Amino acid sequence: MSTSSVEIKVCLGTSGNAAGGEEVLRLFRHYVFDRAVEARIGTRCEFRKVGCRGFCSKDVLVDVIINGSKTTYQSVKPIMVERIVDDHIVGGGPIPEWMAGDEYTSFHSKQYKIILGPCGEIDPENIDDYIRMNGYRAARKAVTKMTPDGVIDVVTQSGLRGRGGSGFSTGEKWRICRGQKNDTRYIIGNVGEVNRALAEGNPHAIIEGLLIGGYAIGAQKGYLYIRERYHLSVERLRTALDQARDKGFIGKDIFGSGFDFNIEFSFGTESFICGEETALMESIEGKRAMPRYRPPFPAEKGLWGMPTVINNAETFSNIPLIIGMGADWFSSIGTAESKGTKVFTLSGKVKNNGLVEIPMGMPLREIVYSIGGGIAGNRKLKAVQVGGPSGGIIPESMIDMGLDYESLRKVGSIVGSGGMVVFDDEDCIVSVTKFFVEFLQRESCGECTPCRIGTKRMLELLIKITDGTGEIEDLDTLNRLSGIMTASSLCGLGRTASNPFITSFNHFRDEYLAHIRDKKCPAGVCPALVVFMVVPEKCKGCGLCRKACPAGAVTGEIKKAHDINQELCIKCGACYKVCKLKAIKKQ
Amino acid sequence: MGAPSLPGRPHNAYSIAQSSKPPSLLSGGFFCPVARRAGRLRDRTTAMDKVLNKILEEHRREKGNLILLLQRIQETYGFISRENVQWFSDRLDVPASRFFGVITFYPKFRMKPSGKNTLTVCCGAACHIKGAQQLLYASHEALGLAKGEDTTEDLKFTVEKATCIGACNIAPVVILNKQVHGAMDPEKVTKLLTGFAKEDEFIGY
Ligand SMILES: Cc1cc2nc3c(=O)[nH]c(=O)nc-3n(C[C@H](O)[C@H](O)[C@H](O)COP(=O)(O)O)c2cc1C
Ligand code: FES
Repeated sequence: MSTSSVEIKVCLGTSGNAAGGEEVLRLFRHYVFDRAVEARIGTRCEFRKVGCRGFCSKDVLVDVIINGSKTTYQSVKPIMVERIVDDHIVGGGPIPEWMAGDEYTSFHSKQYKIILGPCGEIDPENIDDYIRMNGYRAARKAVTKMTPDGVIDVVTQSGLRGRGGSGFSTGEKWRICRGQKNDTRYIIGNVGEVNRALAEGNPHAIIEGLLIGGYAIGAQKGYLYIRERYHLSVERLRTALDQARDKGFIGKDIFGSGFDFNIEFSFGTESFICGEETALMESIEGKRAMPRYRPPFPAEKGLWGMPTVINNAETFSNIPLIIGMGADWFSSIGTAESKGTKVFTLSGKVKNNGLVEIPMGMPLREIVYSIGGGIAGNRKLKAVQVGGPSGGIIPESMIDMGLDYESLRKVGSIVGSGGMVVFDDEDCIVSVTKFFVEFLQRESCGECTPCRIGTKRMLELLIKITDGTGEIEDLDTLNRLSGIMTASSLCGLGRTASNPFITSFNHFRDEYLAHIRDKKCPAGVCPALVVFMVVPEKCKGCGLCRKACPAGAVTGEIKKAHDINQELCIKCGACYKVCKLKAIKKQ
Repeated sequence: MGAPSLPGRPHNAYSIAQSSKPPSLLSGGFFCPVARRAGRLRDRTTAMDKVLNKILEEHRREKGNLILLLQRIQETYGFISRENVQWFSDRLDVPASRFFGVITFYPKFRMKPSGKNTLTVCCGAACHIKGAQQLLYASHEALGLAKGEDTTEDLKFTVEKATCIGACNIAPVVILNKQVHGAMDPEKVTKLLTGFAKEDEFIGY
């Protein structure tokens, strides 16, 4: 009996927390103690907080592992805990109706989790968990058995390319930096929004990657640049860093090799431009985050004027695996030009929103339909926007393309931050484009003219179109503006800011023309171009729409057809959403 | 503690005496009308000077990083006042414009007091298409904020917008004092806020 064990893993990533994960864990502790499980059935109970495993729409996820056999429960609410403890842990009978079903399996089976794998399995706040999974072994190997150039060779051979933006070869970047004459060098880990789950679920991988990178380029100091708002990521990374320091993995004379390396935090705001490498350096130096001219590139002259390597946190997470498992193993994953895997945040109108890791080159269709489970509410897929705000919009007709650096560039998009937003036929592409341009206009730092004025003019024209006052010539102006911005902006923000417009215009020209020529918004989104009306034959006068209308525009008596006063209507669509009889139409 | 709000370029005799460098014409003092009120303000400013001096010391250790300095001021007072900027500008011989440049660049720095509780509404792409704008309306409505206002009069709540906070998979998202709430709708936001206003803690939607 004494060999049997029970392990309870509760997801405590951001969304696990949001769904009440802390409370669920507390109750598990409470009931296991209350039922005296350990004394009664002679088992040892372990509780483990784990990071996000990506399937956030069904949080809180709980694993109950009894003698190695695992049962996963989904959407666990605090009130369900008592029964799970009584029936399953004490009684030995799992509760089928609460178990994670096919969706959970299909969500995970198509993914290829090399860096997200440990997230959801290990306790991110316990370094021993990470060490048990061979953690810091790669760092030890690199620092004690390999030369810095040897490390750079392996990383170059693996074909690893930056996961944060341009997809530049990581090994090459390191080599350029190592080749500089200065003695002082820096290395920076750029922790962006998509890296959040990584930082929450497996923070040590980022730290280990940074350590190996620091050794390879000969840096004495590393920075973790993280947005202050990601409270949980900051906390987990800070705990991890403290633990690594206690173990002697960070600090002086690491692994007895004489190599000194320290890591510091630098907190940024969530300004988009702060993710740009040179702006980020200005921000670490305490100035306005305005990008610098290049050349010189950061690898030659970066932070405080010293050679600096800056990589995305996901790039760094790959490093321990490459050193540990070898360049050949890594380059066996992915396509000819794009090696390894990539993490995307799948969001928008798909059934399973979540964080997915796929081998490079996986067709978009598979992500949306197999992993994402298709479009929610049985609607029709319209387009997918890949790569964050300045990524391109990919129409449904091109959904069989593979996701890798080259294919994405070909369709005018970027891998970027790895954001992926799915749109259905209820989304208006022009309005979506306007949203992205509005974001980029607000985030433009204002340093260079093409970006500062270009985004502004672009936004004005798009507003004009969605307001129903657009003219055909506006499209020419937009196209010309796009060309100028791409060619002459100082940094990546301005150079990619026109991606949403160019791609959406190329693939959804009809929708633009409908807005301009017919003064119609086919998806019924743009307020100025849509009218909500009651279909009298269908309306039974239930009064739902009248109650839902915030403007008091709907009038009518109970059981009689209602009416919408167009003067008062603010076109929020609330009536349309609540009507169960489809008695309200959009035009 | 609220900093005294003074018009123009505030300064006072006491802090000049403390300053290591002589007061310049531009840094207030001599021609500054406010300086004459210094005597009346002395008691309050001594306590403030103590706090600011501590921040100044830390700042010198940090290679003059303005962002960290401003962050500390904001942590201490909840916002950054013109007086505070002037105080540091004089002692560090850094023009005040440099401070304001940094303050206005980063949305996180505030020059007005903020509420005790902060509600952050994510307005990133994923949250946008799932109705972040409605959440913003609802929270303004629930707190009785007019358009363009972000803080309630009783300084209890501040509502702010954020770009993607990295929780797109549970969009739309709001954060109330570090606690993330996912899959929100206007009704839930209203309940969240009204419940919080009463009990000062999260009591469910
Ligand atoms: C406007 C803008 C925003 C960016 N935001 C991020 C970001 O949030 N995270 C990130 O890792 N890289 C971001 N980048 C890319 C960085 O400039 C840089 O290329 C990257 O961090 C390098 O790391 P990598 O080689 O591992 O990709 C951004 C670039 C631009 C132009
Ligand atoms: S868009 Fe709101 S969390 Fe990403």
